[in-house]
Amino acid sequence: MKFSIPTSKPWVFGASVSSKTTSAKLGLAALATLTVVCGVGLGYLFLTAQSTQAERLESDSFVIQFGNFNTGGGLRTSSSYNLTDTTGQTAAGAFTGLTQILGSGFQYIYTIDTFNFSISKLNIDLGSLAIGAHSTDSLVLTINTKGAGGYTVYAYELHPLRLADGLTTIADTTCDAGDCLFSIAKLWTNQSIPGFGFNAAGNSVSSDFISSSYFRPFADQSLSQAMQPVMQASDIATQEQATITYKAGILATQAAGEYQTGVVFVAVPGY
Amino acid sequence: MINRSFTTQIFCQSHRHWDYDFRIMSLLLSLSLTLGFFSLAPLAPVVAQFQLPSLTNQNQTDTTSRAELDLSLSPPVTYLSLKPGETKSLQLTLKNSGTRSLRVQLELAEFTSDGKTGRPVLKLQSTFPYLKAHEVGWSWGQSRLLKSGETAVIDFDLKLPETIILTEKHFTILARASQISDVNLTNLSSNQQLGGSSQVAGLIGSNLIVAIAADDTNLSKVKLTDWSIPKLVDSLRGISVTGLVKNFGAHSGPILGQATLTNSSGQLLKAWLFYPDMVLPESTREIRVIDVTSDPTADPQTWLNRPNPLLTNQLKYQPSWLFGTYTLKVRLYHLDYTEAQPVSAQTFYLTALPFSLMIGLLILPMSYWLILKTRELTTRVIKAKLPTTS
Repeated sequence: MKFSIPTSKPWVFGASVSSKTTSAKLGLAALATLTVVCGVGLGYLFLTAQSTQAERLESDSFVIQFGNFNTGGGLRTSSSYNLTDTTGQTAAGAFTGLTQILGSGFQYIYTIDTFNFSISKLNIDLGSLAIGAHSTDSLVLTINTKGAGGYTVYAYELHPLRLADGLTTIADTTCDAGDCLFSIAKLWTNQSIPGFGFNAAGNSVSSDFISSSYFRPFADQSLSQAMQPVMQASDIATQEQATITYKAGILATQAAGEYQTGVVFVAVPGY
Repeated sequence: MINRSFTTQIFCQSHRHWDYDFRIMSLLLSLSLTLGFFSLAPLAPVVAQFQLPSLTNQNQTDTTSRAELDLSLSPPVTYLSLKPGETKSLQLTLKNSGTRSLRVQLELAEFTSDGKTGRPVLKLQSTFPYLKAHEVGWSWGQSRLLKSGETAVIDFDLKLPETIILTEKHFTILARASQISDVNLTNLSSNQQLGGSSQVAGLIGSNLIVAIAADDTNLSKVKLTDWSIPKLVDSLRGISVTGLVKNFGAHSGPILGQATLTNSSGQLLKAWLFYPDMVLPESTREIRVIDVTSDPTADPQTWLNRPNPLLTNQLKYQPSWLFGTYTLKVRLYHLDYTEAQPVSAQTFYLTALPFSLMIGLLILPMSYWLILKTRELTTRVIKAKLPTTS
């Protein structure tokens, strides 16, 4: 039996295939050739890579030659910096170059913008807590900073939800699989799992809040746990918002009464 | 015999057609694999950077109404330099634009660097005793009322003793704000219903960096330390570089520098200006740049003074095709030097070659060969299964 592909059609790199064996051989030959070509190419590359070198020059007298990129203008401060004299009064010609300001030592520099932080409401009401059902309430955090250093908003609780006796508590959530921590949010959708925690959604919230079903407990100040970032950015923030949703669930054995805590949000600008 | 001959003939004819079609199909499949590879390869970096949109935000509250707590504090950052024994003033302005009057108290915290960004890592509470508010009412930990719409101007004195150690201190002055009246817990505890609630407090901060030095000389020493620069880059993927600097000095100092990317013929392809972010002593910070390629000869101040400079932490050059050797020159300047004297300079050579193309060229014959082999095996199996007639 003999079968062929018309030789006028150079299917494989210009070679015609006349039999199974020939085709396999040609395929292998082509493969080998390519491998060799690629090998040579890669070899050249690595040889070239060996010649790569970093030039580190640390000299007070080094003179820069920088093509057509202007270095003569020097680097100046951004308009968000200001300079004042030693008594704290704004100096004339405030937008002096940063090099000039700092070159002679910085006496008093401050950013001239304003850092703004708002919390939509100051009372969270989780309502009546029922067995086998989670209760929620939410607030909105808003940040405005014109400074390019960004910001961080941390959060912590004074203690877990507890009665006025200070002893009876609703424990902080450990989420569905018992694996969430005050620094890592995990899935918490099972209504029969009790606890107290929160979700963050919106601009620049921590990446562990994958969806609205991901929760973590607040860092507990009474246990000396370090407050944790819930929202942060490294650049200018204009009206950046995060919705913080509190959630609580109880056990069947939970004592009656109004459980309370205090949650603190700390907004700090970047430098 | 007739039967056998007929069967063989049919098999051979059908096999011949099948074989021809199969070869075409094999080639088409190989080509589509290769084309698929090429079409997807350039997308790899895009896919890598792609993030799923947030599934949250379902509870987005109406934010058009005024917030109960709405505080503004200025300046957000202050840099001060003092000699031992010297006294300087500092002023903060705190405004309550929220709907509620607030109980406000000031706290002093210290912060450190996170080693990458300018976001301070707070350590609550500081025992630094030399910074005090003029007014007793604004003393640390002392509560006072800030009515809705009220603005408070708070003056501080920073008075250093003669014996203080020369160093740099990093503080955040925090204004803790909460509601005027606390909920009466005694009354609530008698509630026989099971309920939960939480009060919310907000703290807003202003950073204060204090250099304690013998004179006004800035002792920062910002140097290039770590660069993620690939020596080899794929022609279809472009160049992407990030850099870290470290301040080996005793004072905070800005990152002052520039970078350029040129091709083998010396043509300028990209120019970046480093944003003058401050680096704390003995800490690192990632470089952020402004792409100034469109006007590299312009005074850097014109770029920095733009209202919302587009900052990125990556030096990126992503044309449709790269090939050959590229040179990346990075230069950093020291404050004490004149502008033409860089404190450190580094030159990196990058080689761009079509790796994805080469891999694609390997995939084409390999997949074709594999398909042929599969076909050969299938034919053998079919042959073996055919009934033999005598």
